Amino acid sequence: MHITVLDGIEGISQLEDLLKLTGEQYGISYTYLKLEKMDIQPCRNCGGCSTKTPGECLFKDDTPEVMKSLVKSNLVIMATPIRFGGFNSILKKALDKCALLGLPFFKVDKGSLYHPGRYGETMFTSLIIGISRSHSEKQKQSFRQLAKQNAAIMRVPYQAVIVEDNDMLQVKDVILSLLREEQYI
Amino acid sequence: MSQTKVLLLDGGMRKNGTSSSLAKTIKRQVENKGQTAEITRLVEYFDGKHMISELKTILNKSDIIGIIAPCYVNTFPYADIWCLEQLICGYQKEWQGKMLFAVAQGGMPDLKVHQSILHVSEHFAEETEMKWAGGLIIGMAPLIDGAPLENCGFIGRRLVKNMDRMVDRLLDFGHIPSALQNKITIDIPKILNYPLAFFLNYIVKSSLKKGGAGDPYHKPYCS
Repeated sequence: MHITVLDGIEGISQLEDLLKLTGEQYGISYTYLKLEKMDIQPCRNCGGCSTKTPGECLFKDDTPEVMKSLVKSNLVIMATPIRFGGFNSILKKALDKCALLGLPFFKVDKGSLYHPGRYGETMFTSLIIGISRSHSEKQKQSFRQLAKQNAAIMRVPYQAVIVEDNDMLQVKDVILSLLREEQYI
Repeated sequence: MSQTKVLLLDGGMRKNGTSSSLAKTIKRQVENKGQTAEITRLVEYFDGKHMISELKTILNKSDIIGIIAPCYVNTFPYADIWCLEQLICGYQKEWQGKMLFAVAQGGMPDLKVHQSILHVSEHFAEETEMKWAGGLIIGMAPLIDGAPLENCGFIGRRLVKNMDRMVDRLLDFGHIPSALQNKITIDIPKILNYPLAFFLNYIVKSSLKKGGAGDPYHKPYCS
């Protein structure tokens, strides 16, 4: 059992401490990635990851560290403040690179087109945490829809939760209940 | 009577990509109606080629702002979100009442997967007190692949015609009617996604061959 945390929260976040405690308590290995401090270049849509170096970005940055952890994970936790009803740029810089996890080819499932996974189907369960600071219900709804579409395109089971004001106790409860549901603890 | 100034924010990563092609069409349509339009590329602000303060200055001078962006993993690319965040940092009251619209384009024919671009733009408009004018979503954008819309056959002609109607509405300071979305949407019966996948895979295989890539199934990050 391995967890990857893509922490897109700006500044100090208690997510690492929370994971450390949970990991130690239940003997779970995890990789915590504070994305704000990582050098991840934007995807330039150059196509090089398909046509020149399949599955790898031509630009040299910290992307391999993220990918190596994602491909061995059972659970991926993504955290971001809700930004205009979506993800902030810090989380998005890592998410854009997740295209590397897919093949360039197309397949059809239940009538819909999708890119099959480079590392197999249904790689991990995804938990998407949106930090709200009194955001409108409309923005929260947009965030939930984006999380749903994101999980659908990655073809992974997911949960999206919105917590008010960085409420880490709620985040802890959600993580523990997800781990119980998936029978990891 | 003073001219209406339209600012088009090209959110594409490629200089001559599909977002750029769409922005150029809108610019031409605005100018044909006797108004002015300017295109600026968001990624150039991200790359530090221009200062965000310069973008704020152009914004201040514009009446209508449009964001034309590709869909990366269901929403705006990283660099575009970064620019929107930088803009909101120095939110200026001068933007109040300006009109904002968006045009999203992406590869998948299912428009739902690109919807977030319009949502994010709408919430950005709310937070900056701009007037949200709505937007359009264009699926199967690789069929355009940066070419001028006029050269894209039936699909291109249909887009040009309906984008012109969109520009008419915008210059009247009206909301983009949802009927226009229906007019540009190619409703493919799900069963046709099988031959479409076959066709798209043919294009992918050709470009892989051209690029000289090795094993397209390579798994560089397997431990």
